[in-house]
Amino acid sequence: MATLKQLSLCVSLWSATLAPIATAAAPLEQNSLDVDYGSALYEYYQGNYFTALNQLHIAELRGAIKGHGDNPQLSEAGISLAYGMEEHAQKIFTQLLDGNRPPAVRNAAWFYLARLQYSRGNWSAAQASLESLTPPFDADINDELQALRINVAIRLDQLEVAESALAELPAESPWQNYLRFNLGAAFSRQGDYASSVSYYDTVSHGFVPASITDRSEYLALYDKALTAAGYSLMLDDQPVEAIKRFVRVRRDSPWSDRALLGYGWSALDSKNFRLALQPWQLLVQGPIALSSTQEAMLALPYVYEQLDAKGAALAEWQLAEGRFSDQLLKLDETLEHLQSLSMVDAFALGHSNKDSHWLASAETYPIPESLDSLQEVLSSHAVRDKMQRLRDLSLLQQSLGQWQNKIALYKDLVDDRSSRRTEKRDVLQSFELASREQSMLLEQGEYAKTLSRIENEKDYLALAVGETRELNEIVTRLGKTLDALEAAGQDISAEREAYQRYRGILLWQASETYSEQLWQGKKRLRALGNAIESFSQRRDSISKVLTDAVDIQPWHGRLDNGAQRITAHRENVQELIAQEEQGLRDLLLAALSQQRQALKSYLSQTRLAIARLLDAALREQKQ
Amino acid sequence: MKNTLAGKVLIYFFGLGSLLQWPMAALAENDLESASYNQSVETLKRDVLELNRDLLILEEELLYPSSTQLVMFLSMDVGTFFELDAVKVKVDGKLVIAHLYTERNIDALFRGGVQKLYVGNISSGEHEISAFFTGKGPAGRDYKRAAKLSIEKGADPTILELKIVDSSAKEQPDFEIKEWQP
Repeated sequence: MATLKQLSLCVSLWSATLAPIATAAAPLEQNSLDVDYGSALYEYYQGNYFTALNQLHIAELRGAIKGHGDNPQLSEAGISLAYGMEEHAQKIFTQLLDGNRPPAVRNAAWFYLARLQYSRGNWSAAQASLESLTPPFDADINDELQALRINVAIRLDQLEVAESALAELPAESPWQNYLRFNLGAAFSRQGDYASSVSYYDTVSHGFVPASITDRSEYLALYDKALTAAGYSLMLDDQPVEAIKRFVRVRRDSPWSDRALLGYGWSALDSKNFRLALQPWQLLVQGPIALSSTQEAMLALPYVYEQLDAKGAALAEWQLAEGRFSDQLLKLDETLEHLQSLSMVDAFALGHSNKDSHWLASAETYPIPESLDSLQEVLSSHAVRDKMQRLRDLSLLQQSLGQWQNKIALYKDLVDDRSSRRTEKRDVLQSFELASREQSMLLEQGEYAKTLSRIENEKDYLALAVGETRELNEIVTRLGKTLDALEAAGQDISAEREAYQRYRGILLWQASETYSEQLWQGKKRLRALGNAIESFSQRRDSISKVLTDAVDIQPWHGRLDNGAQRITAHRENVQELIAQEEQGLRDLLLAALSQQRQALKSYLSQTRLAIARLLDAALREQKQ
Repeated sequence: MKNTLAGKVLIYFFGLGSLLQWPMAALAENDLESASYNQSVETLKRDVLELNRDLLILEEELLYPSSTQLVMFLSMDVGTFFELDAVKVKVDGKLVIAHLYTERNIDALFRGGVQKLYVGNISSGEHEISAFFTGKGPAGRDYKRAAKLSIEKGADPTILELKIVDSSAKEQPDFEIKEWQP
């Protein structure tokens, strides 16, 4: 059972730990340890982190995990990390850094600590953790490790270190494109646009993965790299080169609006006004909630004016005025709607059958139609972090609610069991089992005494059976009659002699069957003894069952304790949900407010432009 | 106008770009208030996990006492010769559980997870457990196999493991039911 595969949380945690731990776990054939641990892993592999942690904790509490080395601790830390319990994960990883642990385990701990520190923006600590790793590393994990090293170096502005580390990464590594993009962005931030563009260009001409999922990821990055390269070239005063990048962005890409906007600005920058019209005419047809569309709505009439097409410019300004005004009204409605909107319901955060993965790429949530103007802010990490936390909290609340209902049912169940036992006890008491047993014992004693007397006195006739018994009864009655006649003074000597003879014959007949009847009598006595013993055992067993009924009592205590804890935790969860919802709402309201400000400014500019054009037209007419 | 708009677009663009640099990581908020709030959420998660653990143990003890408890797990070792679609289990000829496997289930089994398939109650004494496995066998052929085990239910919980193991010698999957000592 204890195979490499079945202990392989390390496939996702740290492959290098597999071999030593699996060897340590080999002698587990005589108990159920692996199934308990394995069921926790089964839940973890399906992304059910809450359930996985529960299974692991239950197995630990029952002492059902032994002989797996440091794997259970690594598993708990890894699952905790995935479930957003970073402090707890860090505590366990830190414990695993102890010098007595196998190097592979320490490496795993350092690696995950580095990831944790990176995710918290603690770049220097992440770099120090990575430097504590000791080779050799498993080939499967090596790329990811190198990728983390490069990203940390980029964050620390050590771009030369990052570049040389990138050169060591295999060309076919799936990390290559992401890292090149990151380096491109880093050089761009430093104002080194030539280096920046060269990295972006390697992404758009880079290695294309074969699988469909990877391919779609690659294409998203391809569009983003082209758009970024275009903007870098714009900043480097190379508008013509910039346009060459913008036009390659796919039309249905999420980056196409930014690329179209950049295309227009690049054309404008190279004084090619007619060329600028094309992308912006396309862009203004897009959703007004997009900032690119809004900006194009200002830029397009500006270009018309530069082309001296005042009529077209005025028409575009007027169209923009109408759309900006409508959008402002819509934003006001959204603002009002947001004040009372439940974030959990709006984003269906309480309807997931799977936990979110805190270290995976942030998940996307369905955006309600009423909030479509918030699309951009809703895709930001700050918002998605809040949503993940809100979802975790709302799933905790659901779980507690389910337990609350169950506890009520279990209380009824225990009460029902308790009352059924009481009923049974009452019924059994009505049977008066003890007094029945007592009278049976008395009866047995009497029978034994009689049998003993018969045996001692050799009372054959007492055990006579059949005709002998009936004749004995007649002879006994005859004897009594003779005694009465003799007492009355009559001569009964002849009858007495006949009586003695009949009695002698009967005694002889009874003696013939005496031994057998005595044996039968003793057998019956033994059977009676056995019956009484069995009755007594049953009575004891019933008594024990009734005595055991007191075990029901502790259930009440445990259920009540559970119910109290549930109520307390539900209150805490509710409080944190309210806090998180308010935080999320504030963030969205702030974004809406910013949008409102921008729109108001655009609207003012638009109205001024309209007034200016109308004024100019009026002056021309007068002239 | 160009400078204002284009500048804003560029800041916006690179702002987003930097957030997406590391696909696994979301930058944590650093202010103290947020850290303390995050800690409250984590503490609460830990408390609820502890409560959930206690309640699950209580539930099991209440509904499935040791003297009647029967637990069945399912595991798959390697799984190259068999692609599991469904499993049905009967106790004394009566169906107690049927499970259809999703890709996620199979992946979790394939990676070494062990599925807790069934928890129930049976009376003390002798019982016969039969498991029926359906799926695709070697060369993608439809495959249906059964495994049986007679057990004697005693005072301790009865723990069974339904195992699907690749037999390299036969190039076929093997199915067995194993009883574990609690």
